Amino acid sequence: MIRLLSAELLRARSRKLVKVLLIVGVIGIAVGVTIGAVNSTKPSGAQVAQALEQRKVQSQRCQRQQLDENGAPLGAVGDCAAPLRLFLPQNAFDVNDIADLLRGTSVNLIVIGWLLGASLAGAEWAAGTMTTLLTWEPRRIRVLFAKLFTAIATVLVVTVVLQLVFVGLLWLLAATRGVNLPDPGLWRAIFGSMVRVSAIASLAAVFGMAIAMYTRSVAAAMASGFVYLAVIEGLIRGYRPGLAQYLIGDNAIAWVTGRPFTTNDPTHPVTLVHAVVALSIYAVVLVAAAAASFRGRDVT
Amino acid sequence: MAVITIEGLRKEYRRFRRPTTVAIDGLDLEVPEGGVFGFLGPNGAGKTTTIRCLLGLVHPSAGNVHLLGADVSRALPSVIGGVGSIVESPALFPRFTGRRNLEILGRIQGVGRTAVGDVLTRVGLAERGDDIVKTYSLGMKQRLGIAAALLKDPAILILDEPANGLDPAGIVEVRGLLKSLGAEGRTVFVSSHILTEVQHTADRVAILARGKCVATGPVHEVLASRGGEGMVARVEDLAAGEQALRAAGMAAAVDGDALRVSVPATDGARITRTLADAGLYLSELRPDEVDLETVFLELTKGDSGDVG
Repeated sequence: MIRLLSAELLRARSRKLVKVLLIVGVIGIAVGVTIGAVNSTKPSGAQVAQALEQRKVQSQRCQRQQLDENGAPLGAVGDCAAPLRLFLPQNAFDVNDIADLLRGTSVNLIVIGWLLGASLAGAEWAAGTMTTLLTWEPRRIRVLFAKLFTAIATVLVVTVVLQLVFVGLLWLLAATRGVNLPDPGLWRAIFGSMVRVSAIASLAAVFGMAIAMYTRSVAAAMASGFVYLAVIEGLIRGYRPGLAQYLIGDNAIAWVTGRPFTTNDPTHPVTLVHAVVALSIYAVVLVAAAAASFRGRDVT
Repeated sequence: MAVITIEGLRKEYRRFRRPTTVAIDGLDLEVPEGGVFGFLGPNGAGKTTTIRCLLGLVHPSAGNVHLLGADVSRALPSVIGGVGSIVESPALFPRFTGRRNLEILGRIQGVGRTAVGDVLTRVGLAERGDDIVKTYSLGMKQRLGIAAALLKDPAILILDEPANGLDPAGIVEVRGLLKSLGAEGRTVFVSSHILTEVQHTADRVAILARGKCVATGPVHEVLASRGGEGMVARVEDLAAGEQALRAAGMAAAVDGDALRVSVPATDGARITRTLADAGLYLSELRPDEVDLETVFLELTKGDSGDVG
C-alpha cells in the first residue's frame, strides 16, 4: 500500500493541473491584494488613536447598557467588541479582516478541491491509464483508497499554500497600507478558518473523485456538482424547505464559518458539528458507491 | 507446466435494451511455459476480451482462468508482479515524460530508476526518455508500452498487438525482441494481426473465431493439419512432366505454371530422378506448404471483419 501511495503521490505531483492551479491561485491572490493595496490608504497615527478611543468608548457604553443600576446583567450579555475598521477611514485595510476574507475564498478553494479530486481519477479513465494501473495493482479497493488519500493530501497542500500566501500578502498589506493592530484571538480565528476551509476543500475532492470514479469522467463529475448546487438544492429549498438543514450548501456554509447557519428555519440552524457529520456521511455514501462500482464493473 | 490455463471461459456483455453480446463462448486454452505463443483471431473474435479476463480487468461470465498457477478471480495480486502486459494500445500519461511514466509504475512494484533506464535502453528509447509522451510517434509509444511491460522483469508477457504502428524496421526490432524474450525462458503471449510476423516469431499459436479456439498447437503442426502435404515442381514442359511423374506412380497435376505432386516432402529425390530420366530439368522444387494466413482465413471463414 505504501508503494502504491508513493506512486500515486508522484503521479499527482507530476500533474500539470496541480501546478497550474497553484500558479493561477497565487496570481489571483497577488492581483486581488494589489487591487486592495491600491484602494487602501494607511491611516495616520492620530486617526488610529482616535479610532481606538472611539471603540473603547462604544464598548464601555455597550457594556453599561447590559447592566442594571446595581451592575447586575439585565439579560443575556452580548458581544461588545466592535471591529476597529468601523472607526477608521473607510479605505484603510484592517488586519483583523483577514479571517473573514479567508472564509470568503472558501468557494474558490472548494471548487479547486472538487476539480482536483475529479481530475485525479477522471484523467486516468480518459487517458486509459486506469487499465495500465490495474495491471500493476489489481486490488481495486486499494487503488481507490490510495487515490482518495492522494486527492486529500494534494488538496490540503494546495489550499494551505494558497491560504498562507493570501494571509502573508494581506498581512503585508495591513502593515504597509492599512492598520496592523491585531485583536486578541486573530491568529486563532485565522488558523480556524484555514483548517475548516482546507478540510472542506479536501472533502470536496473526495466528492469529486467518488463521482469521477463512478462516471469515469471529469466533466461528468464537475457538471453533476454544479447541477446539484445550482438546480437541485434550489428546488429542494423551494419545495421542501424543511430539508434545507440536510443540503450540502447549508452545511458547507456552517462548516466554513464555524457558526450556526440557516436559510429557512431560524429555530433549527445547522451547527458546525451537524455540518461535519452530515457532509461526512454524504462522502462515505459516495465513496461506498464508487467502490462498489469500481470493484464490480469491467474495465474495458 | 502451463503458465496460462483457460477452461470454459465465457464472457457476455449485457446492454440496456440491446441484445446480449457473447464475446467469448467456452474458450479452452493452455499456454506452456517459455517461448512465444501467438494468439490470432479476426476483429471481434474475443482476443482482447480474453486478455482482459487474464489480467482481471474484465469479470468472466463463466469459466476459470489461471495465470502462473493462480486463479485470476481470487489470487491475481499474488502473481501480478510476474506479469508484464500491454492491453490494446499502451495507455500512458501523454503529458508526462516516458521516464516519469515508467517511474510511477515502477514504484508500485518497488522497481528502481536503474531498471527504468535499462528498459528504456532495451527498447531504444534511452535518448527520448525525458521527452513527454505526447511528442512520441505511435511506434515510440508502442515501444514505451513494451518497456513498461518489461519493467517488472516478468515471467510472462501478455502483449496485445505489440507491432501496431511500428514501421518495418520497428517490426523487425520487435520481432527480435520477442524472440529474445522467449529464448530467455519467459513466456510471451502475443496477439497480432500480422500473421507473417506471428509465423516468424511464434513457437505455438492458437486461432480464435467467434469466441472459441478453433486451432492450437505448434505452428508447424497447425500448418500441417491444414493440408500442405506434397511438393511443387516447376519444369519447362509441364504436360511431359505430369506424364512422367504419373508413369512413375506419383499423383501429379498441372496447377498454373507448376506441377503439384502428392508425395511426402521426403520424396523430393524421387521426383528429381524421375523428371531427369525423362529429360526434364527442374527449375524449382519445394514443399507445398500453406502459410499461416491461408490456415487462418480457412479456419475463420465466415467470421466477421478483418483480421485483428
